[in-house]
Amino acid sequence: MKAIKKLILGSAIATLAMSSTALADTTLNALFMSQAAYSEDDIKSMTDKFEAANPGVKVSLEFVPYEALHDKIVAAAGAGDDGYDVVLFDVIWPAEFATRGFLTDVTSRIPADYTDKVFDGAWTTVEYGGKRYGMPWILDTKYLFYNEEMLNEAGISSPPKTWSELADQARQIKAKGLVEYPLVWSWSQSEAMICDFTTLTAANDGAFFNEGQPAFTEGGAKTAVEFMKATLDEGLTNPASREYFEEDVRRVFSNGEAAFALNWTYMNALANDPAESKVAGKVKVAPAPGVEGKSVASSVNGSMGLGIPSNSPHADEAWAYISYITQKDIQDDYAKLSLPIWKASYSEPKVIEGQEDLIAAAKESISVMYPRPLVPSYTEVSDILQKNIHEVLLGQTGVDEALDAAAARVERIR
Amino acid sequence: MFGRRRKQEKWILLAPAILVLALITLTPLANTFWLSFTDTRISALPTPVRFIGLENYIYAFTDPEFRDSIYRTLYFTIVSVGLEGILGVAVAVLLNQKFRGQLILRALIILPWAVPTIVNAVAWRLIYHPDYGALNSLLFQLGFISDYRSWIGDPSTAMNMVILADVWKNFPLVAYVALAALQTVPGDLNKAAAIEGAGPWKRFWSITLPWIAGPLMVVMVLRTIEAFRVFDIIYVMTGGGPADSTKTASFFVYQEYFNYLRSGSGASYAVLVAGISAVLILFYYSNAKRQASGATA
Amino acid sequence: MPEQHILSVDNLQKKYGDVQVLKDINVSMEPGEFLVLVGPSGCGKSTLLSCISGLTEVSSGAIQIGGKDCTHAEPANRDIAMVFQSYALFPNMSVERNIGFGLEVRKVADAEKKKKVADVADLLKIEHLLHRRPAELSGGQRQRVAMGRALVRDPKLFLFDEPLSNLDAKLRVTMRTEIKRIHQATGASIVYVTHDQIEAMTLATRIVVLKDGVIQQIGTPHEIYNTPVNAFVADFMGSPSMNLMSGTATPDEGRIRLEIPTPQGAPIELVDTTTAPEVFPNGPTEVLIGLRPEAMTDQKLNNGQNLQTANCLLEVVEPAGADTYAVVHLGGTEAIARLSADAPVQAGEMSPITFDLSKISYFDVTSGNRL
Repeated sequence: MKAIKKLILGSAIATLAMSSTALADTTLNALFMSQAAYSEDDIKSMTDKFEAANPGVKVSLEFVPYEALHDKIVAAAGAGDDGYDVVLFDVIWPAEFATRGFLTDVTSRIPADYTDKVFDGAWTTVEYGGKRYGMPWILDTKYLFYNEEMLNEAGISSPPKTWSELADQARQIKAKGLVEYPLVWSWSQSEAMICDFTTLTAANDGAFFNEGQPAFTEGGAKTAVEFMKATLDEGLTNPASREYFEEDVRRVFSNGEAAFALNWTYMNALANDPAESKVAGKVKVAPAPGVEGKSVASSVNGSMGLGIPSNSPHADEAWAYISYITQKDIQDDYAKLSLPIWKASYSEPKVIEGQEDLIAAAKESISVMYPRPLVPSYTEVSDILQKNIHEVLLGQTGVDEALDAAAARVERIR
Repeated sequence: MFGRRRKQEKWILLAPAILVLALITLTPLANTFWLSFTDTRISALPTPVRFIGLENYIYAFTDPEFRDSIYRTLYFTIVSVGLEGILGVAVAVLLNQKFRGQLILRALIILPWAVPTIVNAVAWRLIYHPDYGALNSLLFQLGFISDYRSWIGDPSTAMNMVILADVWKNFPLVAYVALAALQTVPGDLNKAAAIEGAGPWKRFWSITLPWIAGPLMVVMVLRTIEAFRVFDIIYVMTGGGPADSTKTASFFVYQEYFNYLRSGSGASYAVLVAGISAVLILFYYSNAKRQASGATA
Repeated sequence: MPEQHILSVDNLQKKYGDVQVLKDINVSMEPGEFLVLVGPSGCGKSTLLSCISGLTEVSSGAIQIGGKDCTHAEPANRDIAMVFQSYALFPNMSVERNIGFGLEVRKVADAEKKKKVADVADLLKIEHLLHRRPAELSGGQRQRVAMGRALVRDPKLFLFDEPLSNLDAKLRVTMRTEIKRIHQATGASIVYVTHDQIEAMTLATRIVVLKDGVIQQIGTPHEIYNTPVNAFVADFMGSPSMNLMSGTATPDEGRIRLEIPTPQGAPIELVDTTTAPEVFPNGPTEVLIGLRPEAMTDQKLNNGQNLQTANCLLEVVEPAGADTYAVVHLGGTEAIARLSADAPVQAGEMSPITFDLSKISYFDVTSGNRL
């Protein structure tokens, strides 16, 4: 009898102890991206601060390459309670995720005064159908990075303001024998290529769709593709670009093997870091050029936001985490690899310090951020464009042929 | 009467196992099959499901890109399995000889097959890298190429380079089966052929190869079925590019499900790919039956 | 003349590492001969055949086939054909293709090949089997196909490696006769390996007896049987084998007195008038006396001097149909006497045994060599 009593008492206490910890300690599963923007260390550091300020909530971080992000979010949507509580999603996905109910509508959670304090371009990242599905967190676009030393050696004193000027400068640099291929891009058959294409389309005042119909077979979009192909033909663009992602672009540029490169914010700090780059100190950044008569600068909206999957059982804690790491103070602290979403941050000394030209460029670029089509079937549209534009870049088809084929295929989307 | 009871007993005892198997294999199979006739989408919201009959299949058959991918898949299968067969048998013949270190070499040969597919794909990607890959380095130093070049970024070579990586990984399986079969060849057969005047090549063609044809056929057909469904090595190495030149039929299944969230049409592609595999399995089965009935002692 | 030998083996040695498998083999053969290599397991007969065929490299020595030096020639270039114990038929080919394989390799024209195969099939009575696979044939049929494959190319030399060992006893006898018939019909030169001395005796024109890699004796079956060169050959050849009894031989005025001890005490005394007494120059000598069972019988033959009778204790009596065999303990060995079928004898009896000493053999007690 005595032994049984002890046993019952013991297990009761143990159960209480376990359940109390279960009640007190929530673990959030958070999905992040492992390249570009904030580094893994940055994110871990932000998370530690959050955990310190919120005892009882732990965050388990998972980092995947950008290319795997979409699939993981979709797959986890069916995982019930065991899915993610916080996910990082790209600006091109809210349409798709909202129509399928993958993300929780958090419009009511966002304080009203935030709307004016955050850039419009950042809000586009999380909005669809008049509702908001997360907080913008990474405000990003591609800038024109250039090797100042190479430009000076070629007799060029200031970065190009238009794309044709850029081509001229590239020709000069190549003629001087300073580098074989002055231009390097991320033109593998992937979303990265579409970002570059979008930048050029925006510069040429082109459009993807016009009232639901494909508009990229002519006008600015067509000019964009022609430009891309021309730089390859002329030997200005490194032909290996057709296999490259952003990390390859950074590597080639940091090795001193290119004069110009289009890349995200994060490259600025790394290209100027002597431990990561051979050209540290020589790297300058400017907004991506415009086109005479059409634009002053061009940029693609490559922002990302943090959202709560609709099947998460810890929506409140998840929102607490998201609010914490998206707040202005945190963003200002980590502004080296990714710029803040808050307008006021761009006047903060600690944000500006050490990256003055980036901030200056950012002010211009952010104001002209151009979105990719905000349609639920965007992934398919992008795949079609990727394949056809890649064929052009590989010299397999002509520009008209390819864009017409893309338009025809887009019309067949179910 | 005794026989009747035994038969019933047999079924009763097998019933639990059959039930489990049915649940695990038949249910998803039937579910996928049903899905393929609908326009179901992946969604967290309740969406109406419409029965659309053969619409998914018609779409697939009229899609030139899908047709191209079938041709590509057949190319991959035939070339890859063919090379595995030739290389595997050649290596097996080599390993069947007596030489120093023969046993060590036999053990080492299995290593490529033991490497996980993803690891293999990543490693070969590095070897093929246009800027610092080992292949470029080797060919350049040997003087075969004058400049470093792109291998899996060039549509004319990408598929072949992927095939190379796949053959390297899979030929040991063929080699092992062939080696085991070679060791059953009676020594007298080769002696008799030698006396009749047959040289090593003729002996191999007329006697050795027919002798090992049975087990060799089994492993070749298994490889064919696997090769037709190839996905992971291509996904990791090229993602289907460049310009879709390495996109095989299984990609459509993946795309429709994960990228475009259309589970109905994804199911139809899955059924099509599985269907062609089933044809291959039937071919294997009937061939194996024929081998067994007409087998020599 | 050496040029006429169809096969000539000179000073052949074969070593595997430190083990000498064949020592100083010297043998030659005329065209049309049937040379049988016989000996117990491990004597080297198969190795010798393998060397002649070229499937095994010799360590030293020379082999000439049809006048050509073939010591290091490839088997295919020696103009030989071989029939294996396991038949070695190609399982994936029809009988017709099996037989014609050698012609196929030599790229003989189809019509000619078909005719030659048909002729051989006819000779071996297997024409009705031409389209079958080896798996569908019986053992005897497979044997014929193997021989057909050898015959069709009409080579200089045929090599047979224990071809009848896989057949049952009755079939073996039939096939033995077949082989003899074919040999007579074609006049082929055959080298034949067997461990069965009956096959050797019945088939051979000459026999080579091997032991431990050394040739013991080369001779016609008659020579081997009647005048074996040592105790081993005497014991090995003939069935039942020659009785080797220890005894004493004393030369005495042109004759030889023999004393063979018996377990009963009193030795048997015989007189040999056929052998010259000079065989024993040193007076009474311990010697092995060799007598075949048929030399110890119970019949009185009209041969006079060479027949002597002695009483012996018959320990075991074995009726064997045409004869009766009796085991008699003589000279430290169990000698076998061949008595007539209806001899009125019983085991355990003393019975008169007649000794015919006309074909007696003497062997040195230590070396076993013939005296």
